[in-house]
Amino acid sequence: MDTIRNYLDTMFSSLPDSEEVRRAKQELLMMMEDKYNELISEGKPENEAIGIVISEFGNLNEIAESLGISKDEAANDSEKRRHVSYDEAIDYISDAVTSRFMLALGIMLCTASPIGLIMAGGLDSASVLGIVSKAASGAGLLLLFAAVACGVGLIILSTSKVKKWKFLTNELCSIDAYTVKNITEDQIENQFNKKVMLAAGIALCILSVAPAAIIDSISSNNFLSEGVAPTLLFIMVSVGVFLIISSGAKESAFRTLLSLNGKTGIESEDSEGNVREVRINVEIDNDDKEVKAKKYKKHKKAETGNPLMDAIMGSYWQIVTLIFFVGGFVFGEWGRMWLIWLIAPLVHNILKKAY
Amino acid sequence: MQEISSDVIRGYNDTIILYFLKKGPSYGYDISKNIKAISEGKYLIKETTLYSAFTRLEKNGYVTSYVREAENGKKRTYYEITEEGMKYYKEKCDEWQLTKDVIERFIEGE
Repeated sequence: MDTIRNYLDTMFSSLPDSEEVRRAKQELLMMMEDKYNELISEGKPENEAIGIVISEFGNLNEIAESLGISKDEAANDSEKRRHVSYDEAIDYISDAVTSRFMLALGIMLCTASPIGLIMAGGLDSASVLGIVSKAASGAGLLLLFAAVACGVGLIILSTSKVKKWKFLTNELCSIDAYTVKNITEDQIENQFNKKVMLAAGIALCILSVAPAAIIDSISSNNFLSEGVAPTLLFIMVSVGVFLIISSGAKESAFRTLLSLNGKTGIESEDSEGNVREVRINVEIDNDDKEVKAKKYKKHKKAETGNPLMDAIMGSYWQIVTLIFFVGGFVFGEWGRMWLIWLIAPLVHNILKKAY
Repeated sequence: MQEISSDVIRGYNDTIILYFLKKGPSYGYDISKNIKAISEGKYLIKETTLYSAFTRLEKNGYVTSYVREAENGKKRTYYEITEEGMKYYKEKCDEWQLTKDVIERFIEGE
């Protein structure tokens, strides 16, 4: 039912808020609700019912006269905005999904990167293989660097993939009724996949502790409990994280597109909320540069072209990688440091918005 | 299955709606449901088409509307035909007979 209401909201969002418009919306919603309820009582599944109601809704041009606005008037309003065609919308969705997929893959690689080292550590503590375990820790180290290099590469590439779509957030855009209809239908269809991926991801993360518990209870072999068990944990967590991040890929692209018509102004740059979140980042990072940037930011809010910030944003992922390695090698905190790959993209977004 | 062309039927949406209102006051979805049933699913009227027809009919004085509470507690708009509307319906029926008579002369059967 919310989907139908959202669909109507999107369709009506660029229209003036007049008595006629409100009445039309109310009446149309009532008719759609009636139809929806009847379809449900006939035993149709919810998604199918919503699909039918939306596909039989028709076209707003038809009621332009009843709304007291001319068709041209509606057209003029949308001409001031940059029109995003259906093909463009489809392109955007595909780019956004690819970008999110690359990000998820990158984070997965980084999260899973210490498994070579852990396996080597397991071999070492089993202390049966002597020289072999030295070779193994060498290989583990190599694997760690290779995985992080690929992972960070993917994360950086993922942002460049959606660069050309920046105008969707920087400019006022509009999409036509046909696009709204099709995207809304796709959105409904995607619900199931999204939920399955998210649930699978969460389940993997929760279950990730299971192998260790099982292995501990059935075997006292050091290699199994200190090598294989944590490796399985890392693999399950990283696959789970991958699934969780990818699950929302399409949905967020749909939402971005469907919110276009309703936007009346470009988002304001700064808010106290952002500042607070960035401060948390500083605590996590313990990075001098970031702190300085933070102080700088306090004085000069929302100034673009801030050279210090540019430098930090430019080498953001290198800094994150450095922190990851320092935390892992110097403090031996591989078990916690992988979390940085989850926090870092969030912080990156916040910083990007703030500057 | 071939679908009915909305261009052709446009001039008669009002007539179809008045046909139902002649039998008594009714509301949006009820009429849309009945159109589907009587046309045996060959004509599905869109919500926007229906709404624009209602406002047009009301503006021309062929129907009046009033609000009643529906079973679920929401407000539902009912439409009722006027004398004018009855007259208009009759005119449209005559017009269709004439139209049908003329057009059929130019239509080849299989």
